[in-house]
Amino acid sequence: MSYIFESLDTFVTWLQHLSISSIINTYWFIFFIEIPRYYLLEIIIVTYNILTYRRLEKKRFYARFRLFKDNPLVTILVPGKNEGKNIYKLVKSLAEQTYKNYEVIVVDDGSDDYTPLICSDLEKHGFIDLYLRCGVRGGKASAANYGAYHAKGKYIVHLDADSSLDRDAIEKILMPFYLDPKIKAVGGTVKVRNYKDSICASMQAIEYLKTIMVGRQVTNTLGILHIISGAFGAFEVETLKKIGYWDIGPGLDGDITQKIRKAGWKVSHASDAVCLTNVPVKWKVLFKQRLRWSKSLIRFRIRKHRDILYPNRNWSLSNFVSNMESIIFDCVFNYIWLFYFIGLITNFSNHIFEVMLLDFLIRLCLAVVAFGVILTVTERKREELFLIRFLPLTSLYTGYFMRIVRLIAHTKELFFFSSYKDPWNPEKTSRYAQLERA
Amino acid sequence: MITIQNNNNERRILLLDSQFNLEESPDFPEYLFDAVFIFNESVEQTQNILNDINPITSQKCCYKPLFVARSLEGKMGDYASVIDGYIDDWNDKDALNKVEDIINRRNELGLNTPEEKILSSNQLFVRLTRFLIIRNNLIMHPVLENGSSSGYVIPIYNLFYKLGWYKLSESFVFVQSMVEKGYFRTTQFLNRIYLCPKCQHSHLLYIESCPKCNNSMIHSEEVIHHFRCANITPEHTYNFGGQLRCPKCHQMLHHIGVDYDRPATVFTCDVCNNSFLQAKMQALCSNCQSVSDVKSLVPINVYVYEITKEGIYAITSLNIGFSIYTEFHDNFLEFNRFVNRIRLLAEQKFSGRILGDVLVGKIWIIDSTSATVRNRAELLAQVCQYFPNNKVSAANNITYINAIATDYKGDQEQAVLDFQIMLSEAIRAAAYVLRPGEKICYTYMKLEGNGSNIDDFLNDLNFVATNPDDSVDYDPNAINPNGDRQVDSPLLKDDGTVETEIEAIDLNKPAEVPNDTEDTQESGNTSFLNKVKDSICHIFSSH
Repeated sequence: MSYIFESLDTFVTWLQHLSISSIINTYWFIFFIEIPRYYLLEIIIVTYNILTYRRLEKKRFYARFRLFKDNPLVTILVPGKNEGKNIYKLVKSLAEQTYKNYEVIVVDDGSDDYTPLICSDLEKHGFIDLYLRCGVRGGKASAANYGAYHAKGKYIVHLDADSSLDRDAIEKILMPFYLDPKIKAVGGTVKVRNYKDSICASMQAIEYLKTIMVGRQVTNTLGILHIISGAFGAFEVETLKKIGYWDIGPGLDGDITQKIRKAGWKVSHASDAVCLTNVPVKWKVLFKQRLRWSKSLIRFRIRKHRDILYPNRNWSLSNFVSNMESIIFDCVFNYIWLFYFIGLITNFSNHIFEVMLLDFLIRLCLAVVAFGVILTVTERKREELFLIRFLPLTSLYTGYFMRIVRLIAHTKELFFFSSYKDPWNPEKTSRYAQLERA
Repeated sequence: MITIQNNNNERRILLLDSQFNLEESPDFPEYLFDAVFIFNESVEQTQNILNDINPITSQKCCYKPLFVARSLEGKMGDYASVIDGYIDDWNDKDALNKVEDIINRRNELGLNTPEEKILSSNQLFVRLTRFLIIRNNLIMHPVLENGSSSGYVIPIYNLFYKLGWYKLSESFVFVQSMVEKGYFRTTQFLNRIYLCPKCQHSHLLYIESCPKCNNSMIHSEEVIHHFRCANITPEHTYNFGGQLRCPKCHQMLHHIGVDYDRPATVFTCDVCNNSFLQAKMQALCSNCQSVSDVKSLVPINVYVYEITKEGIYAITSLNIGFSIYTEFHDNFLEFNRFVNRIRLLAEQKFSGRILGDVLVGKIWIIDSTSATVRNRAELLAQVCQYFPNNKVSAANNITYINAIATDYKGDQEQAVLDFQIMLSEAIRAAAYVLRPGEKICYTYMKLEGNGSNIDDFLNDLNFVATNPDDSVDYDPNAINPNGDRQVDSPLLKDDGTVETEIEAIDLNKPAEVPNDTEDTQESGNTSFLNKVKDSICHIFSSH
């Protein structure tokens, strides 16, 4: 007990000796990189969005009117392997939709459990319009392509089998297509359904709110949205056909967004179209998932779609900025952070405890600010308030855990091409993907 | 040519070689011949003759042995089932034996009288089953026949189905009811087949069709998955001058399993362009042209049936549920329905809705050893006619009459007395059915007490009284007031064997007996009986 008080005492005396400039000097990474990008920018954009809400609302009203007048057939495409147990929950939430003109296509990518039985039964009873099945696993991209080929709708809504939708989600995600005819793909907001399952899930819930609900609203407003989540995204079928549907993943959602952007179309984000999904509840599973996601940055943005960065005929500022933004902030600054962190430890080896504690406190303050932003944006404040108790942990989660995961993933991918060995894709397809550098 | 010849056993054989209207010919009455031999060498002509001369259409040749020319052996198709032998000469040893066998068996079973005309499909089945019993063909083995109505058919039934005598559903109902009653038993399971739900025919065409529009213009196609670009589309999109080329990345496909594979097959409807994994299977009936889902087809288990001993006893007797009496006499009820009716009347009686007494009269015949004798058709016919306003039933060697005793003045005792008188008259009128040593008796039961003893009452129906209210002994001079000939039924002993009564063979006995005086006396008696009946009929009302 006394040890804690002594430590706090030394911390306070240490603090008293610090000036503002020395704090900024010490935590330059936070003040010059993280705050402007992740906090200041967000506050400005969200404020801007709130101020222009009225003008947008009118546009959205007319867009909704045109949507229901046009009433296009929407294909809801659900590829997956061994997802039979989740399908019923999904189709139940689909049956509740305010937008009714849709068909459901479930693609079974070589399931080896009871999925075929469950799905053909659901098909017989009319919950599913078409159930497609591949006898052998071909990977998520091939499953999605198989379903997309049979889609009769004007738009495809791509869903993960373990997700379920708010009852107005389909309507909301289709609206941007009628706001701007150049928009050919729209991402929805993905939230965590099982946020009470474990601390790990709760942390991800906060992360999803910050990076997807707020973060993508910001990049969308700036016109540099670079990903449409695979769990919930809408695409125009004509455009999908032109760009050749999905390519091999992992991270095929980011890849297809890039392809649409490269083709000269716009992508958008509907932060009010909410989809709930289950996230990993164990840190180990989360770690593996994030390794896979992070590798796709190197594989697609730096390798496959590097031509976006070249000043050629096809060059566009927004695509360039969009790609550079994610490369710099997610990859380059990560390595810089590593050196910054090492420097911090070596320079302040005497006061390492005090330095880390202050770092923690600064991040906590920022997290509170960020949570305030989340609460101004979200439509379900009461549920989200539950997460406030986990705010102290976010500084550890985003500040350290996520950075370390990304560092490992990027290093592995940069030097060892490890995403081609990921069992997430069948080996036969990965082999070709690697040969083609695709 | 048509003629009658005696064979070596002094049996008369009707010989014919061409179509002949035997039924309406007065020259060849039923009793003039014992067997039929069609000596025509042509298959078609013989079949035409057999269309007239068979157990169903010909009452004269009903169960008689039927032979055709030896050269036709194996060529007669379904007709073979009504043919007893293929012979060149009616004095053939086999033919002689066969004729004797059949005649003896008919006598044994008491089926030696001419049958009535067929009026319902159930009579037809009973007739055919009796035909089989006489031939001792107790196993009915369905055969798988090309061109038959329901795939597996019992040949003799199928012949008459083809001749248009019944509907398929009727034959299923008949066989099923026989099995339920224990008259047939299944000995071997053959197959489980599916029939058209509308017409029970087996001639179904199976059609794969689109689950959405039910059209059968569909085609199936394999799907090719190209690994390197994850393109997965039907095979025709890859077709490029006989080679396979990916429509997405325009690379040639080389080696299955290495750069591409075929993970699935998908159906596409050419009409509505719908894609589906499993085509809907439908069955088109080539008989009634209805299209039904394969799930709604009627499953039928095909068994080999054997006619049981009870079956032989029941089918050769008139007690069979759908006997001719249910169709001829309005007031005849099958016994289980009769019991239900008594139960219903009892309920009404105990709840006060019927004022009169519920009575059940019982008439039975005992032989010289005081054992009851099987019900005789004539007795039942006589009772049915005698009590036209009362329900009549027969079972357990007893004939039952149901009555509600009340007259217009509500004098119940008088009404019960009248019922007794009428029963006495009835057994006297029916005394002509008796044989030497036999005695016809009656008693009656009156429903009394309250609702609790109804089961005892119904149970008592099964037993005869040791002291009958009245009885009439055998009288050689008794004649049938209606002038019908006497018919005998076989006796069934306790061990199940059928015992023939010698007297029963003497068919024409009652016809020989009457002389003028007795005739006038009898006719007077009949008119008296009718008078009594007329006067009493209005007293007994039946529901």
